[in-house]
Amino acid sequence: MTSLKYQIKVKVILRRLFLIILVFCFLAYLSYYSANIYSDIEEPYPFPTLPGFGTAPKYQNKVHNATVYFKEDALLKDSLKLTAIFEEIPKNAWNQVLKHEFIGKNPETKEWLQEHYQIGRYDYAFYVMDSCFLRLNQIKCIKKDTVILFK
Amino acid sequence: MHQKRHGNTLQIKLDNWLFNNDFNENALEIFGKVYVLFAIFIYGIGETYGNSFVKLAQAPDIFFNPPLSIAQLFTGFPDIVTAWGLDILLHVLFGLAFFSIKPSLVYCLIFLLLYLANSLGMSFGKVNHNFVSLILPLILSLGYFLKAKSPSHIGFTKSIYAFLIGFAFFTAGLPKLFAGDWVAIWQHSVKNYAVNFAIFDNPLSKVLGFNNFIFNVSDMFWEFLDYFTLGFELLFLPAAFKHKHFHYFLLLASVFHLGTYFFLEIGFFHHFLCYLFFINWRNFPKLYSAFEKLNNLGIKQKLFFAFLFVPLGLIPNSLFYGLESLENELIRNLGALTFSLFFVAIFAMNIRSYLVNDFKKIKFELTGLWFRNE
Repeated sequence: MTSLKYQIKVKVILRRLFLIILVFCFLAYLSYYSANIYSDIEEPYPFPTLPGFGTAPKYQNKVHNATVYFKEDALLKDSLKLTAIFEEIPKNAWNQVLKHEFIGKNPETKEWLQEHYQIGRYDYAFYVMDSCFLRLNQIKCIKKDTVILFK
Repeated sequence: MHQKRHGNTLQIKLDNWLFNNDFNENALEIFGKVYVLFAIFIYGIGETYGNSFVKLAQAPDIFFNPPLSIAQLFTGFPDIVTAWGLDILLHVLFGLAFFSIKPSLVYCLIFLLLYLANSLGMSFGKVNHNFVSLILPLILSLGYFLKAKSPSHIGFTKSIYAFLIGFAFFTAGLPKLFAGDWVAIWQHSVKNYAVNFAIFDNPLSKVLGFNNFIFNVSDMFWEFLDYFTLGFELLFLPAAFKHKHFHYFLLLASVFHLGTYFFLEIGFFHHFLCYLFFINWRNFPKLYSAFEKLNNLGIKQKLFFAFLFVPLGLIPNSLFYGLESLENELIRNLGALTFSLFFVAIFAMNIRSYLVNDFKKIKFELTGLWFRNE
């Protein structure tokens, strides 16, 4: 079991395993990155982007359909309005949704929420359990325990 | 341990990195047990991996929409009876793993169950960072396999896991680089997160006076944090190829997670456990001898204690989960702060020997330069 020949054989197998994992990781990520991650966005990102040529104006154009509230108007200054997008909803509705830890990305989610929480005036509702990088409807940053409502 | 070879060819360098490090059978044995204790009693399986089966079973099937994964073989979430069965099975498997009963097979089964739970959980559209902790049982399975079949190559597990963690950070940094707003000097992405955090009137941010701080500090500070995050995440991958640098990055990562939780409210608590894999377990010989006694128990005793993990693990679903569900947010945050600082201290102590050596080297270089100038 511990002969030199056996040791070399194991070493070669492990070395090849590492190389396979290395190649797989990069190929899988590249395919995911290029084919999937921006598929929800109508206009693709400039790829790659040079420093100073951000995509923020695109966000500004895209978010006009979403009902977005800021707690303080002062935050609408500067670039914050371009990236800090989240919802503030009535406290009673907030508490109701917080009792259930669901996120829906299916269109049917809307019906479920309408049925249970009477959020009928919105077309889409997303409940986010954790801060994440959800790229639906051009929303970039979403706060933990946030409900995003779209008209 | 694998014999270090000398030479400059890529293959020799690769072999030295892959197989020649401080990870050995004892380290595997200690970490395997520490991992189980943390996963079951401190974090809880649902917390460590985001989704327990019981939690999934409570979701209506209308949410069932898994991405390309093993979950597509199913037509909905498991019913509550199956879910309890699977969660209990997971606890039993963790118990068996703790007592090193067929560890290679058991860790592999744990990985498969957790992978299934996470695949089902991805139905909710959540892009999470659980991969790093999800893959850990598979790495441990490989470690135990190598321990049995070829102990001199056990260092491979450390190298491959370091690479995967480095790659995970790299993939977090790359979209930031290409999205543009992290590199654009007039946009401050970290500030955006910080404002989100402050605006929700978090009690800890009030105590720290953080709300005033974020609106008064210079934008240069925020831009520095943007670039620091980018550099840290992108350089984690090359650092993985040098074990010493990787240890420095682990300390940076633990401080980074502490900062992201307390200033941006993005928690990565399960990552701390993964980083523990890399610390120098040779510094804990007493822990090894204590665990060794457990391995010497008879099989009946082992099985009895392994099954005890079910009631102990399920009630009250871990300390950390209890902490997370505390109503008082300030106490909860202070608890999390203590928890995070504990890990930061561990990783700081872990690089102590590297720091001392590096400091001596720098001092030697500087004094050498001074003498030459004289």
